[in-house]
Amino acid sequence: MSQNVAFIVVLSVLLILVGGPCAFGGPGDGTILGATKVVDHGPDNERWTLVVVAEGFTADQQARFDFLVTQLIEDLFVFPPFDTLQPTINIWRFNVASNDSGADMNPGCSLPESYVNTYFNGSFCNAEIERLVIVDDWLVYDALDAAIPYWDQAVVLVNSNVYGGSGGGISVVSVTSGWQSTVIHELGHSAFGLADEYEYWAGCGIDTEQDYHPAYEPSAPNVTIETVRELIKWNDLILPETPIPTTTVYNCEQCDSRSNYFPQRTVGLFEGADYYHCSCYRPEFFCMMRDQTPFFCAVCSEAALASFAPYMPPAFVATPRNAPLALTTTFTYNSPLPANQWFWNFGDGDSVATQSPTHSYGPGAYDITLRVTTNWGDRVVVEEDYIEVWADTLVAPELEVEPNTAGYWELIGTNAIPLHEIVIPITMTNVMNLFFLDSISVVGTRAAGFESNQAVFDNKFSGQLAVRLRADAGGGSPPLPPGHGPVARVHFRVRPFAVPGDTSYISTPPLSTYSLKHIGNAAVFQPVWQGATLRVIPPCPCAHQGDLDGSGAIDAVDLALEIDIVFFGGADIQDPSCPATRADFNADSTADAVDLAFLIDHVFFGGNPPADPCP
Amino acid sequence: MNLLMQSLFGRPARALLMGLIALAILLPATLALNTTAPIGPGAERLVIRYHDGSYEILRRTPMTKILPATVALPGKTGDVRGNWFEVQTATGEVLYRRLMTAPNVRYVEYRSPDNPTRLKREEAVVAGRTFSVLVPARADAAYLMFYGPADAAKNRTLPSMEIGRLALR
Repeated sequence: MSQNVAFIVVLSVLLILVGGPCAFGGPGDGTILGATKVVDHGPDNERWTLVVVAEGFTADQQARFDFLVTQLIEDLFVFPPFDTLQPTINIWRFNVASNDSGADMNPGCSLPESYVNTYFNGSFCNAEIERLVIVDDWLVYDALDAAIPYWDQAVVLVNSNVYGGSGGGISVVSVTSGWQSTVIHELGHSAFGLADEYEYWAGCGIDTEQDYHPAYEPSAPNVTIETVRELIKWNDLILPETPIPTTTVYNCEQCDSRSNYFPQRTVGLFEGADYYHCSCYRPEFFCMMRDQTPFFCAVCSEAALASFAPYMPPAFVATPRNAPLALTTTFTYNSPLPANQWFWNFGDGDSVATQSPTHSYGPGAYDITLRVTTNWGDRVVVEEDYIEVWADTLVAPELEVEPNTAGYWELIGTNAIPLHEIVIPITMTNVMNLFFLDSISVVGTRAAGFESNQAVFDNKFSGQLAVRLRADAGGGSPPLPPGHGPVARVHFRVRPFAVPGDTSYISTPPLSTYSLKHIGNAAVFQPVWQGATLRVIPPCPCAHQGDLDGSGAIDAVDLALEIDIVFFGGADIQDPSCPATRADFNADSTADAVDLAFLIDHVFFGGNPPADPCP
Repeated sequence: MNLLMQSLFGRPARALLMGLIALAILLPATLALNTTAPIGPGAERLVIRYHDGSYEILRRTPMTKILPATVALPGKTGDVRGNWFEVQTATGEVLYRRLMTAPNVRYVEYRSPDNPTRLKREEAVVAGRTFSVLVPARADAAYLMFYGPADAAKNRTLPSMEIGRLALR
């Protein structure tokens, strides 16, 4: 206790001594407006969480800060390896309004001394280094710990057009030209533990003490003093034909101004790194850690992936993933996330606890679940419909139709796996004079809920029509579940010139680039097709039972005739080759009061119609 | 020194007032500081003050959080040059290691005005600063160790050695 009190008294005296008008920052110099999660790839405590903090932005300048954060995100996630690492990273925007704009300029540098009231007390010209910009670390920790408890790295954007910044656990950068590159370079240090790869300190021609690197291996993964190929940290990335060292510096008292004479992205041992001209090497000629080249060298990228491996989701691959009728496949764990144990559920009731199992499947679609045990706890990944074994068919039934009528083929589909898309190219023969191919619809079929039915090839006058049926065309509808039943109707007309005996054949050869195919989760394949013949038959000679006057409609006139036949001995009509007389409504070979009752029910109360005499 | 002069002679009254306010605010907070708080599950954040070669935990916050992977050194301590921290057991077994920037250095990198395609670095060795580390919270974690070159300034020609140690329990 007494030590704490003494410490506080001493600290306060120190604060009094160094405390100018702006030495404290904090709530007296601005307001925390709030934190916004602008990139969300999961819970912060399961991701690497970056926070971008506003310093020296007034309340009116927050929109500009928001824009700058958006710029940083756009630049970061197209920059390898951050593009690959994107799923492991969350980003927060931390809006803080300072009372004043900008940052302090401490005395001792070329620019005039000036002070402003900003929340994190940002200042240039520290230790008389004009570009060294620092903020009050403690204020940043306090604010972030309260607002975003799981943060990993903070980047403070200082609202100033004076070039500057500082590195470390909290990176500080003023938002001048190229500031995004500076942030990415600093993340190379703070997030991945990378060293600088440039070969000087104060500048080429200025240094006098940076000729030879000390004889101790740097801890960073991207610089080395080792020249024995087998012992180089990144030996696994160096091709055998690449010389070691790859380049050497001809004068260790100067920066080597020669340009690169190896192919871009050659990994080797290039002399000049870690602030020294000689005796230290970098993996590639160019790298973000050397000269802000717009990529990290391969060794840096590997270090980045290794560093962020714990945030990587578990993942696996199987080869092959789909096949007709039956499949035997091998699963392989495929994630930078180090795992100690693997437990596979194959989706068909079987499971196993080995690293790379082999499993056999029959027709169907199977969800695969992998649970891995890692040093950071158990992780689970589920891949739905990952394995697909199909035994799909598409069948057209044989049809008989009368001349001058319309009809449709109902295509019966059987699918063993969920289908996202079906492409059907139809060719119908004898369309010139006898038949007409009209359209393909899904009304009344299993595919009726599909969001898109698009004619992708249309030459109906030649009997050719292709449609692309998509379950989800942007609306999020589910795929067609495995099953059996109609999936489409091919509508046609029989021209008046067709006579009994004429035929047309329906088939599915490719039309242009459209071939018959089913598209599952991963599998694209052709179902087994069974075509059919359309045959023209003579018109039916029979009138409907109940249509006593042969008018084609069953109405009150027919009811009067039925009463006459049943009660008053009126004459019934037996059409030749027809199954029943016209008054025999229920086709039980007798025209009686029961038929009359059926007829009344049909005419007045919507009862069932009589059986079709010409089915 | 400039700041000092400014404070002493430029605006002494306001500086004195702010110092007294700081005393009023920080005294009770520091008296309540408990650096032996129980370690929570998974991980903890340590906010550490470095001052003239000594280290002090200002705040430790237990949390459940995945941390970046531990790293290996390219040689044994004494043969390697750089800055890093380690969580060690009481017997010296390393449980977790990450590279870090030197705690006593403030640095800036920028495009050299005379050659905008090249970077340039300037740094200052400072007597004190506050920094933060995330470490795994394990029952067998006994020490947080800091390693760095014994010669902390620009040329850093010596290998890294232990430069700080904090008891975690």
